[in-house]
Amino acid sequence: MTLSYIRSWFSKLPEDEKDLPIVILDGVAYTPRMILHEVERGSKVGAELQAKVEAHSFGTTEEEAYNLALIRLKEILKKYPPNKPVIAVLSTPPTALTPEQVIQEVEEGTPLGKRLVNAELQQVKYILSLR
Amino acid sequence: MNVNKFVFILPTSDYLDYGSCVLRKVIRESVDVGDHYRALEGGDATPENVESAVKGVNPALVAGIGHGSPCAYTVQDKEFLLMCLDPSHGCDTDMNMGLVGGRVWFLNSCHVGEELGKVMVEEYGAVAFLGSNAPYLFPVFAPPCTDFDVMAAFTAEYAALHYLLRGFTVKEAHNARLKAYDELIREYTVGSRKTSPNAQLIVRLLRVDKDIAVFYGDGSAIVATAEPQVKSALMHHPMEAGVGAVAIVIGGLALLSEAISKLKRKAS
Repeated sequence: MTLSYIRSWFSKLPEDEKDLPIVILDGVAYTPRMILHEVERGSKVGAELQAKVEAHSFGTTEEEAYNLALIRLKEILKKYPPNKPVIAVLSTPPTALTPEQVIQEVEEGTPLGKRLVNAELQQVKYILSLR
Repeated sequence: MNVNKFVFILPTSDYLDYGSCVLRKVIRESVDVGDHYRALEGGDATPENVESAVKGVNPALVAGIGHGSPCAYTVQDKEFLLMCLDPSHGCDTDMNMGLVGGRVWFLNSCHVGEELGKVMVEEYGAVAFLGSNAPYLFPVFAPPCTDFDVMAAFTAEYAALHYLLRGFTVKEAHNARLKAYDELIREYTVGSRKTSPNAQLIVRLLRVDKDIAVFYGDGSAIVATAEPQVKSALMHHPMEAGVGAVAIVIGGLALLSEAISKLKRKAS
């Protein structure tokens, strides 16, 4: 486990991902940039964060995973006008959701919301596995 | 089956134009001059017209987009085309299920793969069904087909159609769309599309849509014949077939199509 591992991982990340929380440790959400900083400092929490990155682990409980997904989805959707539809659904009746409505689906734990959380966590694992 | 005969359903109401414009491109790039097909677009994509086209063409493949529920598939203006009895989901009768047998159905729609798709195969003799078993999501932050981002989800999904129309089996077509989803997820995460301002949202939608992609029925079924050289070329360049066939840039489709045409001319 070396600093170069984390530096290499960080360098491969898309710019947008570098400041999105990706690991939760002791109730605190860390972005890749924060993780790199802690590892470069040689801090105890840095060592723990590095271990998590190398294990592709973003949290330890289902609640932590959900909270991480929700934080990330909120950040991603902030880019879009809040009252304009951003996603449509091929359902009957047809549905088009604003960013606010998408977050509501996640917060209410609807089937669609759960799928979005699941997709978010899949992407987190993918990001953690980048080499 | 009546191979090389197709019916395409391209409604445009209620955001369906986002998928229909991509489907139109797929048809233009994939259907050969010798094939016999009907494409019903916009206001022509009514249940009556679809029924008439299916009965008239007797196609091996019916492919389309539409809004759906677990027990129903709708076309233009949300008019019901297919329905199986399921009062728990608001379907109080069977509708047009007699059209279903003896052909492959590719229906890009929410939920149809949850129940209707299975009933089509298991009870009404559809050769195969490809679709989704939960809500299908796509972006609408820009007008239809105005940039690749708003087309991305459909581009991956319709990789299956590209493959079907080029003589691959149902299972190969299904796997091609899964591969196309994976490739686009990679492109938008670390590849050439990672700098798109919409990359993060697109990836999430692609992941949802990939997870809900299903097929039922005969995976070995074929709806189109293709020159052996054409299939061989695609098999030896799977990335081109999987990704090139759906093309990160639609211009790639034109190149692939041209390559296929050259091979066909050479063969003849």
